[in-house]
Amino acid sequence: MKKEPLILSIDTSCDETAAAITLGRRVLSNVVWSQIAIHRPWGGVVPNLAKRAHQKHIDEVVDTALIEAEKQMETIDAVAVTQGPGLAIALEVGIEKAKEIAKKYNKPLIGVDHMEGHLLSSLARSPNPTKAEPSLRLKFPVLGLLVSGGHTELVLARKIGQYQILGQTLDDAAGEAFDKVAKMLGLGYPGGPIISRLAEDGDMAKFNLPVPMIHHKSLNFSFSGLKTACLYKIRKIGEKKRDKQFLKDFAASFQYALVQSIVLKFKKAIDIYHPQQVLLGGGVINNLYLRQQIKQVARQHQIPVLVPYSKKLFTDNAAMIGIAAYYKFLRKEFVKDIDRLDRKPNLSLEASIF
Amino acid sequence: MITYSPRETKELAQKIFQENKRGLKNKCLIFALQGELGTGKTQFAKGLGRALGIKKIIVSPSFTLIREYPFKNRETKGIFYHIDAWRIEAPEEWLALGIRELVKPGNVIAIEWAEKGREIWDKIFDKLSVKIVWVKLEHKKRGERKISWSSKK
Repeated sequence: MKKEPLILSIDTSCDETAAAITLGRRVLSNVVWSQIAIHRPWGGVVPNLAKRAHQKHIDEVVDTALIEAEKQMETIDAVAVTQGPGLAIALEVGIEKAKEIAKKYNKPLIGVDHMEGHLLSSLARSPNPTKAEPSLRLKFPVLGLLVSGGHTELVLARKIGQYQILGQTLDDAAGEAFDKVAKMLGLGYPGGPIISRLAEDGDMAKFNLPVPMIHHKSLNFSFSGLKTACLYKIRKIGEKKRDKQFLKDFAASFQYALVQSIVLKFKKAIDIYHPQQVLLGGGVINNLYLRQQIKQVARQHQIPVLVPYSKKLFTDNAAMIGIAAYYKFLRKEFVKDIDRLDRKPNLSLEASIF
Repeated sequence: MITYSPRETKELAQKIFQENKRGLKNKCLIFALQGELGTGKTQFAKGLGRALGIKKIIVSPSFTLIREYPFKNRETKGIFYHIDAWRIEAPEEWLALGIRELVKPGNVIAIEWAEKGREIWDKIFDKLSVKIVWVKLEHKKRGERKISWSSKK
């Protein structure tokens, strides 16, 4: 059997400093140093704190990834790094580190799109499989649903590496809508987990919030109208009446409207493109209600859904970058001139990285 | 001026851009947008994007803080930067964002939550050639927004 490539991957696209070692599609280590605690008082990512924290932790995170995987830098076959999309000054930290390692150890460098990482995160395999894994044969076309703090996208893959964005948000991302509504309700950051926890015991029919883009023909999303509708409702109710039950009901009603909007577009994409396989990725996929609704629709259409084997692969991490890099390695898509590799804060899955 | 829909907010942004575009050849044009959540700041930025002939969808920059869109039209070319300062608290955060490096003649910058950095703006833009248009967006009755603007060199 041919030896699978051993890849060190780095991701510093936003508030996580992450490094991972992958062997083929197998995740040997996946280290994430989260800045959420640093940013919590501010309700979000703060730029110079982000850059400083990345610089402070990157070496330790890379070393830990190697130690946990029980590998040495000398034995890896390539270094991969996220080029974008993300916060420019954060991306730079990871790119500089990757270049430094690639030069010092004379390793090929692979530039990866963060969103391709999310898309392929379901293909990652655990280091110690508890049961025999079936061999993975993706059936194309594949429909990807990527929902995170900065992105909401429906992507069609005709093969790995060839993507078409079917729909995306026209304004706020789904995760951002969670954060902003949480802020309006005086809850903490990040808003997603807090709202979904509250929603568990809430009445989703209590508040009638508009399901976004319900009459819109495209596969695009829009959450800013829902955000404003929430603002009007919350204001009308007044601070005194906002007790615990109100928070639960409001969270459930908001979550319902947002998820319905995503499910509606997801269903529409299935009807138009007849995918043979669905891949889910991004931090908001952590939302159980969303996942259940999506799986139900897929089941009705008899389309298998792949979800990452660990929750750590939903949110930003470097192992998913390693998976995308693995396929690039097989296609021999290496950076030609290491010095010229640059950050691409607005990178899109449709644009080739070269 | 009152707008009654996101579309009207976008159209007003285009109009305000046309009023202020003179001098873009040797200055950087900055739109400092002030307004609460949901007042239409991103809609306003979409209008600016349209005025510049940008085809890409202008989306909220809240998460990545800065989004950039190169543009080229009959009159001018440059980069449109869309910045969100919602998360910025301390004034020095502005400097960390590296805004000074974005300020070049021909570029257009829209900054949401601009009021958060007002006290250090003079420092940020010191000795740079900029024209700043302050735009204030307010909630009125349901669906209505009051938009007022003023520019200084």
